[in-house]
Amino acid sequence: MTREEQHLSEMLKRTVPEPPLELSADRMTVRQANMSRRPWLAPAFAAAAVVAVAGGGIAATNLSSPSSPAVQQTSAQQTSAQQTIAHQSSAQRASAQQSTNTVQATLQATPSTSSGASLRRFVMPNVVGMSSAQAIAALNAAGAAGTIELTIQSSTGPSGQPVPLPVPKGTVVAQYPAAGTVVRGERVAPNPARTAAPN
Amino acid sequence: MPESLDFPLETRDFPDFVRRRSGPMLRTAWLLTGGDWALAEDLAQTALSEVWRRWDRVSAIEAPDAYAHKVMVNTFLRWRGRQWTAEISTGRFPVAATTGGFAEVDLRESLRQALRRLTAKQRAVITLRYFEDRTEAETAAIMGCSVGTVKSQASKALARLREQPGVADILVGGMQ
Repeated sequence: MTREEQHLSEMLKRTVPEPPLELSADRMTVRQANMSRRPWLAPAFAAAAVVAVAGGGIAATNLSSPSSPAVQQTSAQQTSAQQTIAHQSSAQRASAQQSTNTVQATLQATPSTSSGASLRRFVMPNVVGMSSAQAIAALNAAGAAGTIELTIQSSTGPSGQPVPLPVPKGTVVAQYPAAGTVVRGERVAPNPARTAAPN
Repeated sequence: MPESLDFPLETRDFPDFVRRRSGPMLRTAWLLTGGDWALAEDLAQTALSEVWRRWDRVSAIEAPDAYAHKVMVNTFLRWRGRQWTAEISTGRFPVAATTGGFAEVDLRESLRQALRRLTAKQRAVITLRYFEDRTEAETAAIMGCSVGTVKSQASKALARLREQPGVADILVGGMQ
C-alpha cells in the first residue's frame, strides 16, 4: 500500500459515521425494481396471505387496501384454497362438499420508521403447519399490517359426516403467497377511511 | 401434504444475525451509496431480504456474514443504473471549492462529495480495499471481477479523489 492509500484508508475509517439507525429483521424491504422481475407478485397487491385449513380451511387476505380489489382477491384465493384441499385428499374430492365462512382478524400495524410514505413490504413467513392463531402471530411478527381474512372451509361428506383429515383440525395446509416471497402491502399511515375492511 | 408441520428452525436465528450485522453493513452501505443513510438502509435491507430467502442454506454455511456482505455489494453494483448513481443535487455549493481553505471544511461532507463523483464500481473498490482492508484478490472475488480491474478501478478512483479539495489534502498529508 502506498502512503496515499494508507491516508485514504485512515480517512475512511475515521470519517464514516455511526449509523443513526439499526437494521431489523421485521423491516425487510425490497426495491420495486426487484419486484418487477416477478410479475406474479402484482396480483398480490393487497394480499397478505392465503391459508387453507384442513377441516376448517382458511383463506387469509390482507384487506387493508382499497376494498374492491381485496374482495375479488378473496374469492380468487378461496378457490385456490379449495383446490389445495381437493388436491390433498383427492380420494375424498368426489364426495366431499365444502362450506365456507369468514372470520376476520386484525394484524397489528407496525409503522415503518424509514419513511412514512413508502409502501410497506414484508417477507411472507412460512405459516404452513401452524394453527390459525400461530399463523396470525407469525404474520404480525413478519410485519404484515392491516386486516387479515381467514376463510374457514369445512369438508363434509355427502350426508354431512365429517371427512377424515390428514392433519389436525385447524392446521394451515396451504398459504399464498409462498414463504419467503416479498409482499407489497398497504401504504403506511394511510387514510383511516381506506383501512377499514369492507363489510 | 406440506413437507413440515413445524415452524422452520432455520429462520429462528435470523433476527439475531440482522442485529449483529446491522452496524458493519450500514457503514459499508453508507460509503457505497455516497453517504446517504436512507439509501444505505434501503440497500442493506434489500440485501438482507435476499439473504433471508436463502437463509436455510446460508445459515448452514460457514460464513453467513461474508455471504450477506457479498450480496450487498453485488446488489449495489447491479443497481448502479438506479438512484445511487443518479446525479444528486446537494442544495448547497461545495464549501471546499468556493472557499479554498480546508480548515473549516467538514471532512465528512468533502468525502461525501468525493464519493459521489466516483462510479459505483470505483466506490465499491475503494470501500472494500481501503475501508474494509481487503486484499485485491478478495475484492475481486467479492465483486466478481478480475484483480486487474480492481487495480485499475482503484487507481482511477484515487485520481478522482485527488481532485476533491479537502480530501486531496488528507491524501497527501494524512489525518491530523
